[in-house]
Amino acid sequence: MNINTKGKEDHTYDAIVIGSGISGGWAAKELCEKGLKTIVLERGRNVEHIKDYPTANLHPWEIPHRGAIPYKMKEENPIISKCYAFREETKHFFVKDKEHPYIQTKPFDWIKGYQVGGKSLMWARWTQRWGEVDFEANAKEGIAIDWPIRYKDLAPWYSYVEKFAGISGNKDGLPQIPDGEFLPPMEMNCLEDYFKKALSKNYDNRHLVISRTANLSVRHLDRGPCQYRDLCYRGCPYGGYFSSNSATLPAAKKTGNLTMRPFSIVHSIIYDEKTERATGVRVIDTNTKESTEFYAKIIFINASTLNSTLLLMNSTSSRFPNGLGNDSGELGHNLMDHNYNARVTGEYEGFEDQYYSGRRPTGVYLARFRNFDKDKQKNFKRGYAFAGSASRSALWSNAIGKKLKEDSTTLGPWRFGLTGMGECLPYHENRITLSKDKVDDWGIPLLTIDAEYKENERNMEKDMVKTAVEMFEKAKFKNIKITPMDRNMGLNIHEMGTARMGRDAKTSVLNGNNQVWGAKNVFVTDGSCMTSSACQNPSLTYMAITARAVAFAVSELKKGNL
Amino acid sequence: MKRKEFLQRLLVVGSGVLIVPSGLLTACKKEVLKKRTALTEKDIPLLDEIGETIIPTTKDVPGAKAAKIGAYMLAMVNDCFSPDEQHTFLVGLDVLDDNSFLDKNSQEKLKFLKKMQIDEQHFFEMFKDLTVSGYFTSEIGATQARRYLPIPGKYIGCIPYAKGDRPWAT
Repeated sequence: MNINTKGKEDHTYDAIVIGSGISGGWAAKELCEKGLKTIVLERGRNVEHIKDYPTANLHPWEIPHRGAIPYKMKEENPIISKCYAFREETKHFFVKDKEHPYIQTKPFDWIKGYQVGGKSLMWARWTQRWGEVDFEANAKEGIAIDWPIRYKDLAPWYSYVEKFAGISGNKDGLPQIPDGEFLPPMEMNCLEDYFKKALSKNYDNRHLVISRTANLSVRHLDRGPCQYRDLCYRGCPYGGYFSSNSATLPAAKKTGNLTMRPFSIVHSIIYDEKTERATGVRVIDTNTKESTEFYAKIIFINASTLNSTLLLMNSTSSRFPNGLGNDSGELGHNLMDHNYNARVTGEYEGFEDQYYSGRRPTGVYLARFRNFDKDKQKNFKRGYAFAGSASRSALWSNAIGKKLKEDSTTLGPWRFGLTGMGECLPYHENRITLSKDKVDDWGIPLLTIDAEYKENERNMEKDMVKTAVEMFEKAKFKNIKITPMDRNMGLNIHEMGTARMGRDAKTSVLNGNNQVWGAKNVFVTDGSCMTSSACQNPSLTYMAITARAVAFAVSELKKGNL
Repeated sequence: MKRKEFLQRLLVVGSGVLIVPSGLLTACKKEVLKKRTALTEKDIPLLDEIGETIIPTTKDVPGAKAAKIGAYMLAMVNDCFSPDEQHTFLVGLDVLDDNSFLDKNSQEKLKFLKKMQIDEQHFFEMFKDLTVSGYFTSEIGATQARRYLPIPGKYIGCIPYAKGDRPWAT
C-alpha cells in the first residue's frame, strides 16, 4: 500500500476508537473531552439520534404485522429471530444472519448490532453495579485467574459514569449490588411491593429492589425524561434512555475533537516491533472494500466482545504470531455469557382493586443470595439474581362472540414472572478461534465459537427454578408454572471474556488498566476484557472500566509513557 | 406442553402480538384445497365475517370487521405463516365455504364457529388467535375496547381499579 506523507497526515489522529457501542461511545467521549483528536471507526452505518429512529412513534396498528417478524425473514434468520428484541419495528438495528456468518462448533447465538451506537440502541438498560464479592471470587475459589482490580478501584468510576448516563434507582444498602449515584427510582406496583415484603418476612437474605436502570426518571443533562412508553428498542425520540447516540457521542462531538467514520471495518492493528507499540490500524471500507490506514498514539478497541478478540487474533506479526497480546495463549479463551434458563411464573389472588398506569421500562431485581454472606451451596459455585415483574392482562377466554369481547376487556388476575440470571464460570475450553479456510465478505476469517454451559451452570439452573417456585409458594402464589427454557449460550447477549484482564502477561491478555500486554498503547475495554462474569447485567461495568482506562491512558500519554 | 395450554399462554403473555407456534398447527394430514390455492383480497369479506363473529360489534364498541380484521388476517397468513400453516388455514376456509358460512345470519355463524371450536379446533384456533391479536392491536380495539396511552408520561405503581375499567391496550 502506498501512502504519501500528506495522506498519512490526513489519516493521523491522537486516538483511534474501534466501535461506537456502549463502551466505544464512552471511550470517544472521554478521549475527546481530554482534548485528543479522536476518530471513531464504526463498521456499520450512521444512526443519528432521533432522526434515524423511523419507527419510534408508530402506534401498534401502524406496524404492518403489529410487530411480528415475517415468516421468510425468520426462516432466513434463525439465529437473530430468537432475540426478544428483534421485531418488525426494531429489525433495522440487528445484523441479519447472512450478513456476518460465523461457525458454531456448539450452539451459540451471536446477536449483533452493526451501526453507530451498536447495541446500546437496543440494550435492556439494567445497570446493577458489581460488588466486592464478584472481583474476589476467582482468587478465593482458585478459578481461572484473579481480577487485577477490586471493587474499590472501580467504585469512583461507577459513580463517574452513572452521573453522566443517568441511572434511576433506589439506595438499597446491599453490598452485592452497591448503591450508586441514582436519579429517583421508579415505583414498584402493588404485587411487587407485596412480594418484596413477603420475601423479607420469609427469608433473611432475599432482597427485592427496583432495578437500577439507565432510563431517566427526571430530565438529566438535557435528555429525557422517560415518557414510560416502553418502546426503548426502537430508539427514543425523548432521549429517555442512555445510548451512545443520545449521550456519549453527542458529548464527544461537542468538543470539536471527534471524527466519526461509519462503514469502516478494522482488519487488523499495525504493530511496530521496535517501539513495541501499535502505530495504527488497517481499515476496509464496508461498501467499496478499499483498504486504508489510520494512525494514532492511542488505540481503544471496543468492537464488542467477540469482534474485539477476532481483531486481536487477526493482528499477527512476527512478535505476535498468534494474535496481538497473546503471549499467554489465553486470547480467545474463557468465553462466558449468563444463564437465563430458569423462568417461573405465578398468579396471585388479591389486589383485584389495584392496577398501575404507564409502561415502566424496567422491572424488579432480586439480588444474589446464593454463596453470599452465610449461604453456602454444595453443588455449585457463585450465584444468580432474578429479574421479574408483576402485571395484569385481560382475562383469557374460551368463549366467542360477545362473551369473548367482554372477557377480553375485563382485567384478569395479577401475574408475576421471575427469570433467573446465573453467573457462568470462565472455562479455558469455552473459546473462539479464527476459521482457517472461511472468510467473510471483507476477507477477514470467520469466527468459530466453541462454548457451552457446564455442570456448575446446570446445577445452578436447577436451584434457580427450585428457589423461584419456593419463594412463590411461600408468598401464597397460585398456579405456579415452570416455563422450560432452552436458550443457547450467547442469546442472553452478555458474551464476555476472551481477552481477559489479569496480573501478568503469562496468564492474561490485558493488564489492570486494560492495556494489551506487549502493546501498551492499545486498550481493550468492552466485554472481552472480563475475567469473570458475575451475575449482574454487565454494560455499566464496561462503561466504568472504559472511563477508568481512558483516564489512565491520557495520563500515561502526558507522561510520555505511551 | 399441551397445544391448548400453549395457545393460552400466548394470549396471556403476548400483549396482543400473535406468535405463530410453528409445528403445532400442522399435525393434520395434508388435505386437498378446493376453492383457493392462496389467500387474496377477494377473501377479505369472508375473513371479516369470521372475525366479526368472534368479536362482534356491540352497543358501544365496533367489532372486528370495523377494525379491518380481514386485511390483517390476509397480511398475517400470507407473510407470517409457514406454508404448512397457510395450507391448514385455507383448508379451514374450505370447510366454511362447504357450509355456506357467508350465507348464514349472524346467529347461525356464531353457532357454526362454536361447533367448529369443538370439532375442528385446529382451524378455529387460528381464526380466533388472529382475530384477538388483530383486533386488540387495531385502533378500534386498542383505543375503544381497551385503553391506550400512547405517551403515558409517568408510571404510577398502584392506582385503584374499579370493576368495568378497561385493561390497558399495551
